[in-house]
Amino acid sequence: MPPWLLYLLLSLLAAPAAWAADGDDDDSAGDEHDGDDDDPWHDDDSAHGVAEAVEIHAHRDEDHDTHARQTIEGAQLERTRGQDLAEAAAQVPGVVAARGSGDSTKPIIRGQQERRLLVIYDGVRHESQKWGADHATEIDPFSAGKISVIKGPAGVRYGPDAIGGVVLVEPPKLRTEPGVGGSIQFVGVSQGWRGVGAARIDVAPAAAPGLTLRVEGNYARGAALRTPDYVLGNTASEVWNAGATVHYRRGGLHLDVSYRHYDFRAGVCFCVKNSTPDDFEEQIAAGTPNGADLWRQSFNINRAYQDVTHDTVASHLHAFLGRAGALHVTYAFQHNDRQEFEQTRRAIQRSQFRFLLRTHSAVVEYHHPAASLPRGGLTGSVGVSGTFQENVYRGVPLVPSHRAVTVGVHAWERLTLPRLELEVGGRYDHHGRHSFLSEGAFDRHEARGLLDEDDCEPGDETTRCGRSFDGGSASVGVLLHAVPDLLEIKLDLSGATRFPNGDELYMNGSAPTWPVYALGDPTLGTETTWGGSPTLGLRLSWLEAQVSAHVSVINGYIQFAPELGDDGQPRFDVTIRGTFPRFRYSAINALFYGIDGGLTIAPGAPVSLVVQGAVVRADNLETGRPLLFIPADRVEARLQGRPPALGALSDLLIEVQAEYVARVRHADERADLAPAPPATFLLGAAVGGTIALPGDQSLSVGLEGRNLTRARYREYTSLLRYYADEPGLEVRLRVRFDFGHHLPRRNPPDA
Amino acid sequence: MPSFRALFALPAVVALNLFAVACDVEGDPNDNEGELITTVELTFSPLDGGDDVVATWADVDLDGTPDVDAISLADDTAYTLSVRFLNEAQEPADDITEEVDGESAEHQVFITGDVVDSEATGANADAIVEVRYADTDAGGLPVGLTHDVQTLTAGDGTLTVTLRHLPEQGGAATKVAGLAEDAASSGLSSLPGDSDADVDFDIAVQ
Repeated sequence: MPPWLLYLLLSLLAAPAAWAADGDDDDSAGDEHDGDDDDPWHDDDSAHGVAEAVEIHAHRDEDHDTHARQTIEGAQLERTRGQDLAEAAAQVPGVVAARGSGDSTKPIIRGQQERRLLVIYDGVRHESQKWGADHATEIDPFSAGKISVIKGPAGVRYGPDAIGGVVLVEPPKLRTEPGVGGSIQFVGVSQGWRGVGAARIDVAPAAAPGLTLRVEGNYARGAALRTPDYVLGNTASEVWNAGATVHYRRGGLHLDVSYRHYDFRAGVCFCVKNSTPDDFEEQIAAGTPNGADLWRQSFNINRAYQDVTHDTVASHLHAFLGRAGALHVTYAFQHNDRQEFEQTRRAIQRSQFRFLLRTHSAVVEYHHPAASLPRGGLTGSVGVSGTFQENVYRGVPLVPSHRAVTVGVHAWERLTLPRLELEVGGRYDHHGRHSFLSEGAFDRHEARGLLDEDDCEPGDETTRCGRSFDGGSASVGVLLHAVPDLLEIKLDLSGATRFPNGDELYMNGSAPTWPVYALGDPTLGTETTWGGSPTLGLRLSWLEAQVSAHVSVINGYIQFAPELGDDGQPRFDVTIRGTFPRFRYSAINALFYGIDGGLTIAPGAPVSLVVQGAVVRADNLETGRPLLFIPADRVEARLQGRPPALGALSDLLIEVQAEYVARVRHADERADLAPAPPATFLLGAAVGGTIALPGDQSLSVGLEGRNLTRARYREYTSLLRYYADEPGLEVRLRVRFDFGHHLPRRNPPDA
Repeated sequence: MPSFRALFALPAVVALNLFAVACDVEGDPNDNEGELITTVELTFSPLDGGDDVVATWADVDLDGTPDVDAISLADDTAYTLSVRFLNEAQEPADDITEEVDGESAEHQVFITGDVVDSEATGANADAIVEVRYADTDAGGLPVGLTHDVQTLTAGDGTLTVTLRHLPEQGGAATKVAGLAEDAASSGLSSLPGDSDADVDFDIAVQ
């Protein structure tokens, strides 16, 4: 651990001690935030984080969000253990998990890739190199107690980048009763003979009322994955996570400090072959990767591979000020270190691409006290946020380093009437960035007429080029309880902005995962989206349904496409590895639209049926042509049986699942490097149950099977589809032991 | 009110952190010592004496606009061809040839082109030069840093030099006998491994 990180960590950990030392004179129990079950900050329906503070009154998040929103928690989340965050989120209709170059995935919401999404963990926006097609989200899925997917633009509440939606990950609620509790889990996965072990311990000492501690960690190791016909050579992976949280509350003040470490090492499939355009075309034509007969299911990770760590220190302060409202403060520091090791000569030991991203972020949000109106109430908040970020790149020519500052203000008000909820909000963000370009990169962009010497200042080793961007957004949401507890109608009109990333502005080099020469455009501006999304929610005794349509226009949508010359023909760049087509980032206006949702027939009955699906389309408004990489139409059905409890055996589940993914016919195949894969039908099954043990203990066991027919298929939105099939049959065995021990609450010393 | 110590600690830590990292973000992002090949240099030495013919393909700025020399050889002449690979993006330039030679069990150079007759093209009726491997690795397989070249007839066309990196995969060697013949029948792209260099020269025999 670097010294500065240690110092930062120790300083932050010193904070709760400071609170504890000074507060002994005010230890009388019974304040409104010290309850056991009604504690809003430890209730399932709220986050530690500031972002969701408003939802403390909600009994289900999706019922009170004017966006289409779905939450995965409890048994449904438990069933995803051993999978990535994106795979867990992909249970929500409209969300797809796109595989990278090996054993990792990224989320796509309503056709928007991760650079147009926000992932928020514990109220802190996750800052990483999310622009890369094989840069998986560095969040420990075991640390999630709840995953909420908010679909559609949500810039007002959550800030820049939320063009396509937000994945909100919240840790499991902390212990409030004095005592010890926790869980130990093991997951065994046939695919890649993967083994996962995870543990979490929560302690609330009786001797220190208000103090709660959590320590958690997990380790996973997997061998190369296997398609029905061959091994995906070099897709072994190793992941470990560790985290600790200290929470202290006293009266109306709650403070928590947490530290998390994520460590990921994974091979890039030997099948990813694009050293020359000819190689790439050859392996697409071949169908089966060249050399696949040599590959074995080994646990070894050879070059090429990725080695990524992500460290987060986060601190939240919540001050409930009674009639004066509430103040929420979040500060976080994140350190993301991504190294990519190419297949090189043996003499070369180090990585060829290294990205260091350091982010300090702070949010201060004030919630005014709820105002009572004759027939309802008014809640709302105003907040400011700031981010300081440094992105340091070292490696073969690709992108510059940069330093950036973002500041924003936002406010929203929500009117709640018996049958109607109305929310109005606005946000403004300013982003300033200095990029530090190598001589070659500056010369290249200058020669293209896209950078001017007057825009930049020469430095010792690099040229500093500054840009600043402004983005505003607003939202109006209406939630009509048309028939209370039966029929709800939502309409959301929201905007969001995104500032162009460093790769989009300045990239200059051969992309490591793509057989093209990539060039940024330093003149690109802010992406702004405006969209509308009506959502219908129905809850009958025999039928529950949520269906949402959406349409949004993105002005200045930055796409990555072949550069054409004046003659309309593609341009090429000649490199030492051959002649590559030149791809560049350019801004267009785009239209996204679609529908997604699901229904459950006979929810809670011994036998029920869940059907869900999604359709999304996107067009270039200037040419009328469809955009690339928009997910295929898909529909999924799950027939679930819930037998009655057998003695100590409860929560029994038997499920058969079928998924159909259509062939993508809406893509512009002439602009793609390979045809879209054919339609896919996948069959899965699951069984599971819980055994109650003496005391507060239980044992949960589950068995999940995927691709039971060993279908050969490729996923349209996965990078891997250009190189190889998706993995075949997967059987996952989950065992989880929960334990808890209550201690009698100690009387306060002065009671 | 609780202690303000925590509130003071944060800005202090933030400031310290900013100071510590201020330097490296402004440094040159290009840091590719040893990784890159920018230049392929061909030296044709006439067996009967006379001046060497040297031709280079160089993209020192890595900007997609290489400087390429044409190769001009005399008809009915035998040459020894030496192939060198350099990284001239750094100073002094790094000679990658030595590394390729040192890892010859995982590298092979292929000479192809529309007017070339080599092991990697198979018999070529349009050939103006005949190229044959003149070196082997420890396992007796060709490396291709040295070739025997015989000019056949006057004419011009393209000569392509490809350096293929053939690392072990899962413990199995991918550099095996007969790769040049495989390239002749199915193309270079059918070979295992990656191309570290793949460049075209104009060649003329007069």
